[in-house]
Amino acid sequence: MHEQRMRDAKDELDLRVTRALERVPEVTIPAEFAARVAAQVPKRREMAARPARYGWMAMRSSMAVLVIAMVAVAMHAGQRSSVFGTMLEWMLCAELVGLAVWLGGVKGLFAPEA
Amino acid sequence: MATDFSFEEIVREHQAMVFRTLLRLTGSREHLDDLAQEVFLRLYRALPGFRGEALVTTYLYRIAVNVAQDEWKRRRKDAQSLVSISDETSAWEERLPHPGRNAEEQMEEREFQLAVEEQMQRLSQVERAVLVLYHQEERTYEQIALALGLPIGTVRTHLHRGRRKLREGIAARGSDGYRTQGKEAPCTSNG
Repeated sequence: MHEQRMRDAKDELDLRVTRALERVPEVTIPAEFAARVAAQVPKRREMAARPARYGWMAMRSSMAVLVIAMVAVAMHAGQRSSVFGTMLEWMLCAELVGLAVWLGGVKGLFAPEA
Repeated sequence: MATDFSFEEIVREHQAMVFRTLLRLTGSREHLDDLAQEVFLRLYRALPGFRGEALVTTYLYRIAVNVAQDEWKRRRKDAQSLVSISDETSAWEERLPHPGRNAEEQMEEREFQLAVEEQMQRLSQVERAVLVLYHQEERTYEQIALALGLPIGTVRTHLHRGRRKLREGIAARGSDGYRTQGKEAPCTSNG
């Protein structure tokens, strides 16, 4: 009889514990919470995704070097013309035009931030 | 921006679940806003790799558990009291409605709820997480296993062990006698 009472008491305690665990707490959420969280997101993303643009800078430096090389070759070739000098001049010129087209058309020469 | 708008929608849709899970896991309302915010920011960083609503919910539970664990570590570091459910801001159980009961029963029920919450904070983190997800959030064993990255058998073990510890702790604490009341069957069949 005593054991039965103990078992009943244990079962009832189990029920009460389960009921307490299943009770959902009331929470107060600030009205602007979702907007506040969403507002924080773009700032972080902008900071993390800022491009370094090393390639862009290297490209512009290469163009400057190319122009200097072209002038130097042209001055040298002007004194005594040769097939090699002319070919080199045309090749450098073609490279320069290619770079200018690529930067101007694909990357946007005057708008590197885009 | 469309992406940000949809993210705000996600936050709005899941914020109640995140708040109440964090509240139960940490046992305190202190820093609850900040913790919930951290959960959603971690979710945002992980969002590109996710597909489907169920996965987001599952992942949110996992993040909430991790954030709660970090909070516990921080508290331990600060040498603060682990159990702060008796303070004014954290005693959520005192706000629970008990319609149709007299004052004595309500007070007793509140004391019992307090005892359960106090014992909850003495469980291990994983046992507490499993109990909250199973009983409060009504997740299945499979969902809990997925959220916590545990085998289903381990989830079952933690659940039974956690319940046993709770029962023993409350029985020991209330040996002076918690009067049992109410016999309605609880919902325990979501597993």
